[in-house]
Amino acid sequence: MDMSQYLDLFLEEAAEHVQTLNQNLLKLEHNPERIDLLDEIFRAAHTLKGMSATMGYDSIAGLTHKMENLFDMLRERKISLDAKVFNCLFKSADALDGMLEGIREGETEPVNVDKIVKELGMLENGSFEIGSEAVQDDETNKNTEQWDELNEYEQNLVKTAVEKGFYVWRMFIEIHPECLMKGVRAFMIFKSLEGRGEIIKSVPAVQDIEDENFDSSLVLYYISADSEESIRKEMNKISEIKVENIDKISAKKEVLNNNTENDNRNSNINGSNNNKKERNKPEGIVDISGKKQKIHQTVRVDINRLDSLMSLVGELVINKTRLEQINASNKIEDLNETIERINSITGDLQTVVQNARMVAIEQVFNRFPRMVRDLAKDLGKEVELIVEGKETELDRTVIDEIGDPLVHLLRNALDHGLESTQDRIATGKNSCGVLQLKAKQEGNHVIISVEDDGRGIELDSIIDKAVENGLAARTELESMDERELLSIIFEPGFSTSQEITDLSGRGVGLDVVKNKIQSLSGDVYVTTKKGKGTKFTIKLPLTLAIIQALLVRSGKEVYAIPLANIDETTSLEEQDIKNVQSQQVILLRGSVLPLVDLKKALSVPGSTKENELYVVVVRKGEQQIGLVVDELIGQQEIVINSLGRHLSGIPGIAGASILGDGKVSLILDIATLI
Amino acid sequence: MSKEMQYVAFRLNDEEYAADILAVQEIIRWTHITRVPRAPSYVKGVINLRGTVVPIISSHLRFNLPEEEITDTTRIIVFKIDGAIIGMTVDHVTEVLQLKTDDIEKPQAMSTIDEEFISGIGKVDDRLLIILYLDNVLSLGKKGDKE
Repeated sequence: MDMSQYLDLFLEEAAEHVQTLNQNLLKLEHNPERIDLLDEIFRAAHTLKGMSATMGYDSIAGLTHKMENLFDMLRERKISLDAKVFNCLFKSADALDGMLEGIREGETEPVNVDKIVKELGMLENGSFEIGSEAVQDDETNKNTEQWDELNEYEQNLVKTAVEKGFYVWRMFIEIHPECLMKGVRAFMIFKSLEGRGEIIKSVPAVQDIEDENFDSSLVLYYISADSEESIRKEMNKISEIKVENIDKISAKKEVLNNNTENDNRNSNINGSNNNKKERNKPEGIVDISGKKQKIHQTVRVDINRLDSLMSLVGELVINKTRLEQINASNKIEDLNETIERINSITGDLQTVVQNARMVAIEQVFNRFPRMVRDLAKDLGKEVELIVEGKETELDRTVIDEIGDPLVHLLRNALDHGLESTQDRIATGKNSCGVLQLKAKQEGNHVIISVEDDGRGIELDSIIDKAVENGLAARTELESMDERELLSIIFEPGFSTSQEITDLSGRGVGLDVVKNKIQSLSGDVYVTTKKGKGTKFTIKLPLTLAIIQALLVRSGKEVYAIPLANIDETTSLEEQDIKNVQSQQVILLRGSVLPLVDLKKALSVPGSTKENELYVVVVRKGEQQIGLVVDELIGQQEIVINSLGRHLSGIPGIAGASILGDGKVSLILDIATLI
Repeated sequence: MSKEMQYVAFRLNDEEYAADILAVQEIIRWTHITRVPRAPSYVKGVINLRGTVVPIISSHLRFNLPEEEITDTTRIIVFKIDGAIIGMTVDHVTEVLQLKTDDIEKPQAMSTIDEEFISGIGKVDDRLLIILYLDNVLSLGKKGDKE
């Protein structure tokens, strides 16, 4: 069978599983007592093994198989979770990543994983002999009895479940003798258990329980990933029952199969026909993997389809606007209502499509804990990474682009922001540095911040470096305030090429970060406190495709200004404008607002002086600027079109939009306009 | 062996030019062009081509000729190269013609326009057609740009 069509899907899913591996390994490293995490890890490795074997990537399957073995032993506490094991597991995860990357790049040469496989094998064997065989024996005896109660089909279920990494429990539950509705209690028990696993057998049978045709005790065989403790906890929530025993069943005694079968036949004769019934039940075979995690019903859709859906919605919006215009000029009564309807439907449609394109930033954030851990190890620093707001959603296109700038900022913070452990202790700080990565939604924007509690940026050193690189004269720099000085670190010339290390230098390539963010119609700025830390804040629009904008006229040209950039609008007369140091300003409620004439800024032809001018107060970073225009046309939804690769990157122009009259209007990019 | 290729022939001032027909998506009439400030000078602006924003360059300005006058015969040839759509204004589209590869000569400094824009000179009867090297003509940001 040709597998190539599944390759993309495989790669995507495999990457997710490696991610899960990494994440849970990290968590486990922090709390080694959380053995339950091993189940998740095991499941990820197992799925990966199956997937890669199907696709014919034997080296991945081989490696994951070895990992799986190790996890299995860890879970049964045959070997302990020490640094050596973790390092080896992390290395394996990296190797998996590398192999996937190789496949993605179309490399046919298989990555050599023999060394890691060997290492894993050594860990596995090294402690295997020392394992507690005595304990196992003890357990086996007990198991034998319980095993006999199950028929062959059920035994197979148990075996499969154990192979898949689930626990099989035999629970002995006593219902209070004075309980009036035993059937209801039993039902509650079933309900509670089935939410988290699968009951494969009950004595007495389900039918009898339903008919309240039983004594006060129940024996249940239950497959679940939950630990005994959590099951007990769950059961304790139900009143009037008592969990007497919970025993773990293992599926090791296959030798006993024959006997068991005989026993079963006997018990069938004894009148309970539940076995037959159970055998016919299809639910028994249902794979319960993943039950623990809530299953979301999702469909993977090619992003291109969403894009074309979005552009179709875009065209719909354009034509809707056109319709509104026709109606406005022709005043057709009957059309009003229909237009209203179309308006609300397109609005809904737009929201739905937009939401379909939204992806939680988790995708991007998830790889950072691992990266920070490794970097911190390399640098010999202690770092705690606090991640907040993973669930914040952003447009898919933004998600794809935002990773690199964030990596850059995090590396910067680790390498230069945070001091070495000794320095931290010397200055009386906690030896462990704190790095905070936060995302949150604010209105139509998403704010992402990267904050360290390190040494902060020294303004003097910015000045020195800026002078050194010839960005500005010292006198000029010294007259700048803190905000202006800090914005210099984003200047292209500020970076120096002397650091070619793996890690970026403070300021090295920050202009790249800024460019990237700006190309996403976002903005980035920095605040710092000497000795206390540095905080980079990135502000991004929620979506890029359809926005609210104010249409303005300058000369004969119409421009769109994204509403997100606008603080307010006001009108003024020619004589209100004052000149301060050759800069035109007006006084707006007592504060000075610098003005930029759009006509001049964009060299709009024609210089018809108009009596009344309008000012659109826009925000650029933390600064307010008044854009002088001839007319405010009105607020409108516009669809953002790119100018195409030939014209992209023109400062001040974010894109183009087709208006209701079919003409193209340019969208201003405030961040780069002035 | 001689191969025949089809070209769209058009006129700028008094010279005849030709462009490979495989790169031409369509030819449209003059339409409203939105000026794009801060773009290279030969970029006339952008148009709305059935819902797609398409940049338009002026052939006159691209080839350093005086700016064109818009007449009834002015057309925009819309090219599609490597998936990117871009239009160019021309004074007059004359015809679609076939040229044998034998009839095409190496470019020589005979035209008023830059050599890098020319891929060859085609001869049909006594007419000389300047065959454009579209990759260079239409790629903005490459050599020949003047802000």
